[in-house]
Amino acid sequence: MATAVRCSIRLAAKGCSCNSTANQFVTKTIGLERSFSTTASRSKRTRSKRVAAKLEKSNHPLAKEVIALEKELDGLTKDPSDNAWDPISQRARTRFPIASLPPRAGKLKQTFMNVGDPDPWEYEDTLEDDDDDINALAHGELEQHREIRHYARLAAWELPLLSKLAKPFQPPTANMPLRFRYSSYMGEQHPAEKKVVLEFSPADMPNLTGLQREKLKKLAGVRYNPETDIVKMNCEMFETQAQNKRYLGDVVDSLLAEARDPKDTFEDVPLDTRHHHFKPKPKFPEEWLLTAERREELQQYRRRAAMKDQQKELVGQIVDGRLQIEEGLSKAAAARQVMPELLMVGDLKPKGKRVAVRR
Amino acid sequence: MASSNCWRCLSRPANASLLPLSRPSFSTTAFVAAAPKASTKAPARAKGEKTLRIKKKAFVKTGKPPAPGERKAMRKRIVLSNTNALEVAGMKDLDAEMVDSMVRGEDAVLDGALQSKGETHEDVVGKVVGLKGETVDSLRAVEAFKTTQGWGLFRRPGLLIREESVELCRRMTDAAANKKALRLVIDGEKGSGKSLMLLQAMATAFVKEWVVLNIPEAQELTNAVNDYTPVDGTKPTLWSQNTYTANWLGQIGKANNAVLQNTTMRKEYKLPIPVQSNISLARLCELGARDPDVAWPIFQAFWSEITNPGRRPVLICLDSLSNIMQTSSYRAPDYSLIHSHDLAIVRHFVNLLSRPTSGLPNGGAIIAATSRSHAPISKSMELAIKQSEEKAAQLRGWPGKVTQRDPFEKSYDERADKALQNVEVMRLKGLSKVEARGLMEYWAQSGVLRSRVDEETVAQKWALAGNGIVGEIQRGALWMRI
Repeated sequence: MATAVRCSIRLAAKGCSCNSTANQFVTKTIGLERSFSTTASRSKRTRSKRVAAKLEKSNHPLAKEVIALEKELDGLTKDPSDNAWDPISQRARTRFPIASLPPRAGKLKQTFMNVGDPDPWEYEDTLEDDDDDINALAHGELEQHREIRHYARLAAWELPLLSKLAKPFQPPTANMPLRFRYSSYMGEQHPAEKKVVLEFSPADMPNLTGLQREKLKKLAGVRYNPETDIVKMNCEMFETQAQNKRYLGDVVDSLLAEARDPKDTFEDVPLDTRHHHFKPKPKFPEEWLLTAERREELQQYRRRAAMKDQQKELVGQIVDGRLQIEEGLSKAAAARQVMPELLMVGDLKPKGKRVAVRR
Repeated sequence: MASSNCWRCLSRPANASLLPLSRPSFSTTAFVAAAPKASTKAPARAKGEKTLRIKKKAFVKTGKPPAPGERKAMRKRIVLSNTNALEVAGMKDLDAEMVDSMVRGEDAVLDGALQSKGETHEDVVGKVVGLKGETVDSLRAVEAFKTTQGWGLFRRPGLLIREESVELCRRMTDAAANKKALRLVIDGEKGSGKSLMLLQAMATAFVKEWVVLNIPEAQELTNAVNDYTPVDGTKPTLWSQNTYTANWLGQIGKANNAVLQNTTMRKEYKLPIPVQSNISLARLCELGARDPDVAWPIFQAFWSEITNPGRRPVLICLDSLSNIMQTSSYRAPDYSLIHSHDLAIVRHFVNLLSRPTSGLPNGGAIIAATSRSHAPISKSMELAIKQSEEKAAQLRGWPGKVTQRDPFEKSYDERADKALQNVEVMRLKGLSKVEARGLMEYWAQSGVLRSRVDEETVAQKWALAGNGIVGEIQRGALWMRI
């Protein structure tokens, strides 16, 4: 028991220490008031003295019964015949006499010199391990297991209660053409928390003529997506979400006011879509699908082709390049044979100077 | 350094070792630690020791270096026959009769009438026809053959007749019959036979005794490799390329000699050189070819002569059209770039191509082919071709819109837009399998394709060549060695 307590103190101490790397391995307890636990509860219950005195004073039969039960229980635990633990405790005593245990150093006074230093009793190696407990890692595992169970319990019992808070989805109506997007980081601090994105379609904007709508698209510039017909803009230049949203609303207002302004209708300016890449989406052509009819058609075509070849072969119209070459060569040879070979008459020695080929 | 010796007398110190050493008076390193000075002389070799000595050989000149222009001639050489190739038996030659029968056959098919006996359209399509000697000479004179085409593989030049060539033949014949000008741009993928379609048009024109003018490569007109001068009295200034024009006139005269010899000049022209009144047009061309300075005026006279009523139809062709649809590389005296349409020959061609009212009173055709392998991108030309095709599709009742020009595109050329406003486009696609088979049979008969030509091999090559792109079929079947 003592080692367990020491261990938990060690864990708590570790948790308190400034050493952040140690923090990772520290198990965190989830509140003491949990209703269910896998670990054994305190083995010995000592009733407060006040309650015992009250019990003795009262002459209620139930109280007497309780006192009798208690005594009986005490007698059971302090059975003088049960001395099985004695040799073990003796052995422990001989191995680790009380005097040999490292002296528990008291908390040092905080001075300028030791500010931020870990307390001496925080050093792992200064403490003796009794080998009668699972190690810290295992405690951590156990703690994690508890945690998982805790959340499983939450999921089982409390999450269903959230459905009471559910509201039915209300699709936006025609007079809500603006769609805002906010980003939340679940309570964490984030630089993009204040960003607000606004999307709207010029086609949904009220009280616009066709010309004005076109002008609105042209005014929106690169923020206009011609494929989806949606203008998208965002703002994160102000401190808070609300300010950014307000700004976006103002921009839409001014855009609409400009679009409705008949002074310049921008009719002569073509809508610029150079900023948008119309990505072609290749689709598998339907004609390429190998349906049963298509397969039949192909088979017929192949049969026809084979028939055509057969017919041509019968007539001898199939042209074979190799045969053609052989035929051509044999014809040429025959022509050469028909031609009488020319013989040189007279002096076989060639006339003229012999000139060596220069290389 | 001061010497301890006496300066005046030459007496040497008795003990040389007592001479003060030239070393610093104070040093932290030991004197012995100083690196000994490397001796400059190589250590003496021991007697009888051998060393390897490699003497560099002097550069030996072998043969003669190529003379100026020889390499270019080699590069530009066009070989039209190969005596090792087999002669294809039963190959017919392209002549006027064949052209007529092609057209008739087409008409018969169009009318839905039964085909008359004898040679019909169906028979010719997918066959390779030979070219007669005179036609080959003429085509060679107008530089219709190109080095990139595989003429050197075969015994003699032959042409595959495809559906499109019959169509082109028919339209040319119609144009000549109706005394109208066929204005056409031939477009298609790389290797789809655009230049060969031009060649076919020229061959047809030669056998039908038209007058043929050909600009074999528009790039040569615009990439500033020829001399150029402003033409007097033109505003905005027109620039004539005299040497090119002279050469061109020579080519025209040579190629069309058969027609031009028997055609005499009818009118009088104010020419910078005295010219006889009734000389033949072939002679006129020769005169122009001889003197670059007068080439342009003589060309103008020549043109007005051949477009006189009652003369032969005229075919004028140009390859790689996009070159003349932008500014040229020539510079005006103020160093601004000259637009291609301000060059005399280009202007002449573009006027003919763009003007709906015929510049050819005797009928004829103006055909330009695009180039898809080595040509600048002309946005205007691309758009004009696309629009023209879409309009044609709409006329045929197919759904679809006409593409509008991109309002934010900067590289459109206004003059090119205007020139190509309403020009017809003939798009060349891949060969049909019948045509591909005919072509491959011709190759096998010539002994250059060493395989059996049946439906299977044809289908293989046809499919691998992107559905019958003829250049790719040729590459896969003839030029690729696996």
